[in-house]
Amino acid sequence: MPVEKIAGHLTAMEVAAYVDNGLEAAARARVRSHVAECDECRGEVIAVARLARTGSRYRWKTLVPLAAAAALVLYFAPWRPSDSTAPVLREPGVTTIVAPTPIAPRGAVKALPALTWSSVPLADRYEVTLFDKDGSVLWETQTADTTAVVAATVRIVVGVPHYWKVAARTEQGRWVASDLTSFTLSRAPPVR
Amino acid sequence: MGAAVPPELARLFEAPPGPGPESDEVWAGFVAAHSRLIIRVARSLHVDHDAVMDAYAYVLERLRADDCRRLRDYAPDGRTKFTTWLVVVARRLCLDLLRRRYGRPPPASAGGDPAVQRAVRRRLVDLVAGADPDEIAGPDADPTQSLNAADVSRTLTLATSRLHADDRLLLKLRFDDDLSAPEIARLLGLPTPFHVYRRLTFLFGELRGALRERGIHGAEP
Repeated sequence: MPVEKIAGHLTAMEVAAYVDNGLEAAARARVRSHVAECDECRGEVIAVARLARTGSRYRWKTLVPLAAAAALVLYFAPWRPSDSTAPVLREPGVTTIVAPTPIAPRGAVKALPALTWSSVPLADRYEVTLFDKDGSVLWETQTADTTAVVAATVRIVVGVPHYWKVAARTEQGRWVASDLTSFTLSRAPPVR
Repeated sequence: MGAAVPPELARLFEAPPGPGPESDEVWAGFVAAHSRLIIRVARSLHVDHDAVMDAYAYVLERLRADDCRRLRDYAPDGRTKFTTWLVVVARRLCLDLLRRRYGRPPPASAGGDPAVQRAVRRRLVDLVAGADPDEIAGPDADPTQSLNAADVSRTLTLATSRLHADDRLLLKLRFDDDLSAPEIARLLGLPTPFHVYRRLTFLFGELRGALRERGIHGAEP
């Protein structure tokens, strides 16, 4: 798609204004209606929104941790003469923190299994939160495992979507959370 | 959102046309201000470092061509930031370069991994019709099951086409493009991801109703 408008496709200005929430309601509805049908324009809007978002967060994401790390090093690190003969016993550093991924339950389930998620390297604690369809917290717990059984006292309504997420605590007490995952119980649980 | 032209762009427009030390200097200012963004756009479409730098050079060349004609298209009317607009233009130029080199890719409907496309379709059918996705239209599926699956799929396509454009877009973003709920909420201007989930739940109900009307009763939750 060249920069200039092709009949049937969005202009560069329309795409940018939609991503920046700068269009009036009618124009915004027109763009939504177009991208619902046009795969090419929808792909462009998604890509630009991701790039624009990465750009706006890039400065903070790089500068703040760098500044904080520099401050911590200056404040806490004692000065020691280098000892080049000492063996290196540390594990390799984890440079990227991956969020845990909810594995089950997802989508329609006939019975509520234990909540299960992927492990996160070096995580020592997980916090699981279960929400009802309105987003109110129904239950939450912490565990060192990657699975948790929902307490019997928690009422899961059949046929109604529920949501859950899991956060992992990694080094230096930092928490990284998964996206919300939904599930719907299709059958009443047995009396426990 | 500011409606002013960024200073480095204003200086570019005020510089004398044609090559010369002054226009080179203001162009260098523009390049310094936006190189990182253009490289990020190029990286989103290329993996190889040399290809990224080729695309970066091509974008800069096209932006400067004809006395910065493309940059002069930017209208600072307050609807968008210059950087967002530049992302769109730079990305289109990168795609333009890809097409010049490798030709136009096949349309999305004709391309892509059929297994992935089938998996995407299965997810929606599974959620709406409550069927086991492994039983739907696999290569070794039972002929009766395949017919049923085709019927569900056809009915679902028809019911989806009758939805409001906003709802069709929501389903496409979720099931065709595999976007997360927070990302969809941002794109559609919804306040929270919960609004996305609620709307999806409502739409599943609508689609299940359409299936029931066609006598497909596996849709009950």
